[in-house]
Amino acid sequence: MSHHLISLTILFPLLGTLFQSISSPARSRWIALVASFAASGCAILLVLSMQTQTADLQAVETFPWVGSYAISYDMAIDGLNALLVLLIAILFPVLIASEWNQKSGVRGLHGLFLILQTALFGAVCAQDLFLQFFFWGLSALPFYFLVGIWGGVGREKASFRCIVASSLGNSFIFAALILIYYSVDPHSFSLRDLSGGVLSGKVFDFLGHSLPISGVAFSLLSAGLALRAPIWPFQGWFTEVAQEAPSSVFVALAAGTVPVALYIFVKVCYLLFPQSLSYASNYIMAVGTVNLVMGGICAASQKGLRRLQAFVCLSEVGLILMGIGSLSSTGVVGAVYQQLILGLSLAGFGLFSGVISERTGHAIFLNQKGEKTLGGLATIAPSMSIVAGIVVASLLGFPGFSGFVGHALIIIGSYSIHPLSVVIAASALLLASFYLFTMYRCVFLGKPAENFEVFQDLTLREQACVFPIVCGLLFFGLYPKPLIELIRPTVLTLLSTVK
Amino acid sequence: MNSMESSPTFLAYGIFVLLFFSLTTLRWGKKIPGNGVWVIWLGILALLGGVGLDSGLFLEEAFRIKIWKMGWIWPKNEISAITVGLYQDALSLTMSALAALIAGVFLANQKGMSQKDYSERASAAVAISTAGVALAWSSLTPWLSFAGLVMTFVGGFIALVARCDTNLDANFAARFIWERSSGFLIAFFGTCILATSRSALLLNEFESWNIGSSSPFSTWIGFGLLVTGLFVQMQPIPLFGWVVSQSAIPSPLRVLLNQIFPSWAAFSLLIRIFPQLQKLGLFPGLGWVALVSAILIFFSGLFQKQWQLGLGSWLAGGFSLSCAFLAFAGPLASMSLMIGISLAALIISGGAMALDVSCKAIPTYQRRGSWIKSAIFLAGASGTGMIGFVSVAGGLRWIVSGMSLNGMAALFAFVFFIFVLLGWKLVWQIMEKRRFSDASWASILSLLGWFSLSTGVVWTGSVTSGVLSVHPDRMGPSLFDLFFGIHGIDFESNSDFLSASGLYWGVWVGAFLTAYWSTGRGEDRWLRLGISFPRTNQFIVSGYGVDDLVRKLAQLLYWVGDWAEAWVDQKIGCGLSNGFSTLIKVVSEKVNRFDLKLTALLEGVLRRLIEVPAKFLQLIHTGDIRWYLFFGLGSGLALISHFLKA
Repeated sequence: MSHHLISLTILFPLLGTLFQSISSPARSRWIALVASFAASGCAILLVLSMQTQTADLQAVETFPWVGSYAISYDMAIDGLNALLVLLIAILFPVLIASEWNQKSGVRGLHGLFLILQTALFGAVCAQDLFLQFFFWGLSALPFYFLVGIWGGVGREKASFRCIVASSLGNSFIFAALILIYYSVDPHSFSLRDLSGGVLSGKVFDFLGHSLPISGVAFSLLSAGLALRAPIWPFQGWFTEVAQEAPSSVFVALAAGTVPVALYIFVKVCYLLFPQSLSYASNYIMAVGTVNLVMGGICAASQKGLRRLQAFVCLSEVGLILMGIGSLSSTGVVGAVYQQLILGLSLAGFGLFSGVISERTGHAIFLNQKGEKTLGGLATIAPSMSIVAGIVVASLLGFPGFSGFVGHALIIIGSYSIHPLSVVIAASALLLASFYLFTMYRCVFLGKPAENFEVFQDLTLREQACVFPIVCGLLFFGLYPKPLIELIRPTVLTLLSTVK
Repeated sequence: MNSMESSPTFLAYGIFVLLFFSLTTLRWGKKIPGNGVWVIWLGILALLGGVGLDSGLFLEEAFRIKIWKMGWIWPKNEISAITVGLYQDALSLTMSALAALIAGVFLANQKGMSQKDYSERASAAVAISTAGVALAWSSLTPWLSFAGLVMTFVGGFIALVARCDTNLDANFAARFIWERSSGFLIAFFGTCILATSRSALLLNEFESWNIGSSSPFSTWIGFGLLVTGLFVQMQPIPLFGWVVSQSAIPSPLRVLLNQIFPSWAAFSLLIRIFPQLQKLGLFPGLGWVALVSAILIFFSGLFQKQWQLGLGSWLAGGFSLSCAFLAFAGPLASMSLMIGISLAALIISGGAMALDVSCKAIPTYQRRGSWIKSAIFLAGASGTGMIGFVSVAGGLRWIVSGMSLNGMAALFAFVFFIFVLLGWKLVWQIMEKRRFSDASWASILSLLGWFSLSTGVVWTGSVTSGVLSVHPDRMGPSLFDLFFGIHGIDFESNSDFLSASGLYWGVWVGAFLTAYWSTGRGEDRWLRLGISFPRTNQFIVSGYGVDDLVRKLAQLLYWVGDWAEAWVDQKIGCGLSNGFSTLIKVVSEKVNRFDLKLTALLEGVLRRLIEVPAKFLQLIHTGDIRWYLFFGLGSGLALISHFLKA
């Protein structure tokens, strides 16, 4: 049964898009939600049906797609992508439900979300480089419309910057793909064929110089993903999108696309470029540390929830990169685990900031003079303050919350490789406690703003939206064992290739 | 005797039930207004029941220590394992029971203690913190201990938030949680570093910490961060500013949830890893830092105008002093001071709060007022190390530990002097208040209940708290003996006993009299001194200007953040974007121009190529050249070529 679950997971949102586009707006909402839930149900079933303690690919589905170019429809799930399948499964029904009351162009909005869900599921499960690139490239397009049509005042510029960054990134990745494809004989895009150091030692001539294919492709891929992850200092488009996009769209970007970008980096680099990865591990750690610190410093000076969320994301990406660069089983497992937690935490953050933004018309908590423009929500909206508290606790890695697991594993795994980075990272995480609690104070504590007397707490629909996210943050923090057992064998196998 | 259990103990279930009930009350307490405390009570009873059952088994099974552990995040036998487990010995059972009793008494008299409307959230906060203390003391690994620690300060934060309706209170609450969580994160990083090269870190197994055999630098860094993080929970200098800041939260609640319980949770780990710290040689450093912190905090406390802030300083300084006691005089001394000062602070805050409320001047209220004053006076004696109370066991050991060097003895005596001075100064300051109180008898009894827990008999089994060189006053078994296996103070000779005791009591009486002279005679001389030197006074009272420094650092951080963001977004982000856009425009214009020229050229060539045959065809079409003529010529040419070929 599990052999068709991946295809169903990808197919349901597409069918949903098709049906909801030809139905009335009232029905289209339900169709979109049902389609998204159906895909998520398949995805959760897929993860639940997985065998632990094995590094093998599971639920494999494969058939030739473009035979003349050895491109195949090759889908599978393993310990590395299972958590992201779970994340996307949790995320998208919540996002569709959170835009339930959207007045204008609801069909378009939901349709684009469904396409995005398909694209991300596909990018995560694909075991063929071309197929992965196909889905990954597809995932960039909905954002252009989602930001450009439903965004704020500066939406046009933001959507343009978003698509330019994505396209540029994708072009780098495509160049890497072509390089890889032609470097092996017979030509292949299959990750299975290309893994195991097949590219090691291969070179190509460029302007009279011999360049290693592995190194160049690794650099191109890294640059391409860095433009979408985001990595400091190329995050300008990301913060602008955070400012202008609707909250749910930015959640899809930060909590959906960013972890997937990191996953592709881990998957492709560990499988295809173990040697280059080994050489670059210190650089990856350095980039991660810089991301963590700069994200933290920029976050500390933020006066609005949206840009704060963007910089929190930047900072957390830095932490995950540190885990990836550590090349230790503990660190990499932590990094993979933290991808899920990053997604859930940012989704929680985005949802409560979206609700605040919807109720008050803005998400600014301090004005230019440093005076509070929000405040006192803890007494007016206790449920919202509890949700925000859980998100903050998870982002800081308090015990019992899911962030603790990821943080602990990454720090333990990275310290033995690069102690200085970990010490710097520790300072950045201390900074995180400062800016997150400053935000909490300004938004939830103190005297309520004058116009907040009618501020409504989370409605039943909103509570239903945040419920799976809050449950995930708590459950994965208290009982991480099943997921760790799922990730670990795959990571150990990947690391054995590197070492 | 240790034994490995296959399932958690009753105590663990008690903690779980208490936590569950407290979270339930926190979330849905408002739906049962006024009754949330009963739910919490059930939880407290569950905890006490768990402690009782396990204590019974503990005594029955000849002090058998129970251990239960499981892997949590990583397999327990591998390097970097993150395990959880319970370590149930006399210490964990006693401290859990103490926390539960204190919380129980507090909740029983919550209205008296808070002097405000009943709040379910505050009850839940007390319960969460209590569960946190019990968990911290009962955990087998530092990871679970951290969970307990975080629960204590989250409880404190909830208590603050429950009454947080002004911006001043919001700042106070945010600062509290930020500093506590920073301390936790520092300790957490330290433990992660220690875990890097070790399998499960177990608090009952000295060997699991691998001191000496593992990388010494990393071991130092790890332990250093761990201890620093735990020390931050004791509210030391420079993270002490919030203790001397005003807030709307009632003093007893603030003392219990913001100061005592988080410190106790942190203390649990310090006490458990005492042998490791001792072997590593980290103690002298920690001891001196704690000592300096204690002196500065006590000085600040002396000049505080409000008793609430003075009490906070006394308690915070007392916790720093407890750390110094731990470093120089061992865990028994440290713990006895910690328990003594905590209970005394609770009694003083509760009593002073009751006296603060204005009421009618009737004999009944005067009688109640007198009882409360007596309780406060006894609390002063109990907290400052009067004979017969638990804290004297620590104080005297502290003096004895400094007797080896004259300079050290003098310094230790001086620190002890200002500690006692501040304690009694507070007592006299509060005793100057009104004589009447309408506090209920339950409130007064609760104060006396706490007082009874601070007596030496409870902890040492002796009337004098075991401070005599021999023990003629021993009435029963000593809990401290059970905890630490130490029997009395180790005096080398009778003269040592006399000189140490003499110094101790001399300092104590001197401080008591100085406090009376400076505060107890109607006028507070410390305040007058402060008025004479207003700027210095302001500097000391506000926590030595640390807050201003932090504020400036925060502003610097904002500036750096703004600058970095603007620089990256505008210079790099927009610069790259504009650069690309300009590049594309320039290139496209050039290409366009070239394209126009090329097109024109091609058009010219094409025109010529097409025009010649077109002209010819046009001539045929217009009739200038007849088609049959053209056909005839063609046929002729064909015939000629045919015959030529033949």
